[in-house]
Amino acid sequence: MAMVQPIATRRSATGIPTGKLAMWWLLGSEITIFGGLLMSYIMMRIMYAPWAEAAAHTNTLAGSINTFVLLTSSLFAVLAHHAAEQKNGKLAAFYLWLTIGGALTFLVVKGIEWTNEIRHGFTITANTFWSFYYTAAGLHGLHVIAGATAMAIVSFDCLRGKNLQRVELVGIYWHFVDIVWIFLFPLLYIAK
Amino acid sequence: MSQAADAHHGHLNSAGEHGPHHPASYYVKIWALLLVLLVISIAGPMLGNKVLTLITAFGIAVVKALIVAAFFMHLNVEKKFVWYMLFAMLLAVVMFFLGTAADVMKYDGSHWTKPSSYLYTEEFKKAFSGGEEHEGHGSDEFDSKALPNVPYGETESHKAHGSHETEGHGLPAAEPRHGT
Repeated sequence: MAMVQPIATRRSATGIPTGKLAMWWLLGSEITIFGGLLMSYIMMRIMYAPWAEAAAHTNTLAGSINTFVLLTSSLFAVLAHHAAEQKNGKLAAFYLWLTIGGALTFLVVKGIEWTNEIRHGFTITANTFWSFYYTAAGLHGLHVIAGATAMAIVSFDCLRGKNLQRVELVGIYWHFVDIVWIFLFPLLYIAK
Repeated sequence: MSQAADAHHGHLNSAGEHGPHHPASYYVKIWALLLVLLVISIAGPMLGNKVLTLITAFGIAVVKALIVAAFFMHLNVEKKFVWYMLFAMLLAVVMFFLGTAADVMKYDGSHWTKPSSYLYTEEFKKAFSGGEEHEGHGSDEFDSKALPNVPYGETESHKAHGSHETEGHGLPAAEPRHGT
């Protein structure tokens, strides 16, 4: 078989593999998106005392369970990366599916939580706090869905031992989703 | 060398070598530490001390985020370039905050005011306190219908003055927040 030179596997300027470099740039842009959202929340939360009263109605138990779920799924994601480094594609796929399980659990808990809140009249149009709440948690939820989808695609390659380097990339993305929640959790559920 | 195998060089770290190969138990220990921090952040507010709550909630959030970034995302062995890029983005967020906070975090200035802010606060207060308009509601009860949904520039005082620009005269007759 002739030697195949991958296209732009590495960037000469940074020495970072192209895929990983792209992932870091993606996360860089995500920092400004979520950072702006969180900074807006902090400003409004400090400015308007009633936001604290509205925040008192969020479900701390649901938030805590979801934090635990995401932290645990992050562990599975890094274990998937660990398995991929050892070129064990099947084990990597297994851990990726456990991570996806965490994502689904997160979404189910979120669904139950939101249903309960909406039933009590806390809808997205109730006031600006709840508008923010659903926007921030909803945007984060979309990232959870995107991460789970990407991991599912990568996992099928893993089963065939292909493109194992992508496990690290989806893992980095997933850890970022976890970090965003780590900041959303105290803002929305703890600081009351 | 196959393409897949060559691409596998993506695991090379910043030094051009393979990163540290920790056993799986190493990551489990970090996860356990994160769970301990999670428990502390949940238990913090139960002590009822506001300063302590801020420390346990946000201080621990920062620590947890750094632990995940350093050990799960392997930023501890990543090239400095990535750190610089991420910090540049964080700096952009700080600039966004500083650029807007000067306006957003004030109710009034020497020649301007935000009457809708006062209205918002006042109406919100009524929604919770169960004022005359909301007989029968306890202080713990929440009536989302009583909450205002008035965007800036559409308050009664704005309509009365016809313009959001007050230019130092004809300021809307709004109660200062401190008095509400």
